[in-house]
Amino acid sequence: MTSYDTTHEMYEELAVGHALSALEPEDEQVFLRHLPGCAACAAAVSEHSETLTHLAYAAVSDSPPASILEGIRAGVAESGRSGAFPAPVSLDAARTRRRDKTVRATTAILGAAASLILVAALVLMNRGLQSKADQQQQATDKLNLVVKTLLVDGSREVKLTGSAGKAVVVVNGSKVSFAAAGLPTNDRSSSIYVLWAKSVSGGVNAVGTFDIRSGEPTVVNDLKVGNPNEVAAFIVTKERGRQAPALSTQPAVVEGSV
Amino acid sequence: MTTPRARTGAPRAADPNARPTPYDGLDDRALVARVTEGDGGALEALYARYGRACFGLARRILTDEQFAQDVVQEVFLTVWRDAHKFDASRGGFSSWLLSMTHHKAVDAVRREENLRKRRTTSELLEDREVDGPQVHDEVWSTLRRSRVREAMHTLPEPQKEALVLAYFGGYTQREIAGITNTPLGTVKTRMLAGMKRLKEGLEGLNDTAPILDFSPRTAQ
Ligand SMILES: [Zn+2]
Repeated sequence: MTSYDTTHEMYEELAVGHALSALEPEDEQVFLRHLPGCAACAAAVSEHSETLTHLAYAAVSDSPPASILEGIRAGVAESGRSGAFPAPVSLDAARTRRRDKTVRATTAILGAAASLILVAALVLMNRGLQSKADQQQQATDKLNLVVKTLLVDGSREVKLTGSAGKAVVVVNGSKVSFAAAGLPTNDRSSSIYVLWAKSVSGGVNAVGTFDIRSGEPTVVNDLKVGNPNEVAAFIVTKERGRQAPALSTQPAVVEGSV
Repeated sequence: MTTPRARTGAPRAADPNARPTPYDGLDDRALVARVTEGDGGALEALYARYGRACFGLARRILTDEQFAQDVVQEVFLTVWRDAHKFDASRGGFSSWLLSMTHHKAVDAVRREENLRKRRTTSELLEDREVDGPQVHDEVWSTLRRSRVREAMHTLPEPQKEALVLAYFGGYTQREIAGITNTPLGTVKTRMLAGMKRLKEGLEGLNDTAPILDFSPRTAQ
């Protein structure tokens, strides 16, 4: 055995101790100084870690308590590490998540509305002399704000677009929430908006109905789709009458593919 | 009996009530890539795959449910923050994740000396059957567990003891030398020999569960 082999044998032992987090601090330091320059030891550590991963599975466990996932969700929410359309999350978690003032206001109205339809009570802004572009931008901003309150981990969002406005469908399992902004108000005595789900096989089913009563974002909660995995697209139409027809002949106001 | 499909995925959520999610078809690397982009759903999908294993390991080391919860939570929030540090060329994600879990749990048990109950090797290895649903990834886990158990039983007792005291007991090599009344050098040698033997015994055991061809689990 050469002197290199003899010396390196020590590192082989240290690599095992390192993978096991079992080295004394001074040994750990010795190994960490050696590791960056030694491909053999890097490979050994990876191999040992893989082996120990199997050993980890010998530690039988019942399902972990739900509070862990809740804590992770809270940590994720607090990290603020998300874009305009943050990670999709489950609606249940969204409801239990810590919320800001705006969201609490929305919730209060959510609770008050016995039916599905409600208008998010965002702070009314002075819309006196805004250009159409400004209004559209503002509607989009508010929609993003509302969608943020609906999205929780585990669900997905589908963006619907059209010339008349924007909407987002949040799908969590078979549960669906819907938020729209910028859609024209409808006459509540003679018309209604309908959200449709188009399946991959081409069938179209009404998911729910709603009214647009103001320029503020509209949120519809507690909708359901039969088989969320079968949905290929969501479409919104404006229908005559106060009920969703069996079939729509109206053009899409907004639509988006899943 | 179901037949294995392509070996592209990882074990899916052990929760029998889990609904299909858009993340089901993604492998770990794809999920990690999404996490780096700030996709919390991808993080939850990883938790659904490995949360149970992480919790089992942390609880075994810490013997305290609350501490184990804290560790697992911290691990996944570290993944959320540092997913970009995962280097797939250096091993699988589950390996990285469970190493991190092990490391944090060991740190915690060393901080909280009172958690350290003196346990024997067999107590630390604790063979007991899982209660709970036998969904397909559970079947896989059960297979893997029995392979691991077999492999551990082929190790000479001193080697097994050294590995188990370190891995599940969170003891350092010097502490193990003290507990087993063995020279430190011998402990190091036993660990290396035991690790090599364990690796041989687990040869061919893939880190990743095959995705079995299950009919879709419908909600309710
Ligand atoms: Zn080396």
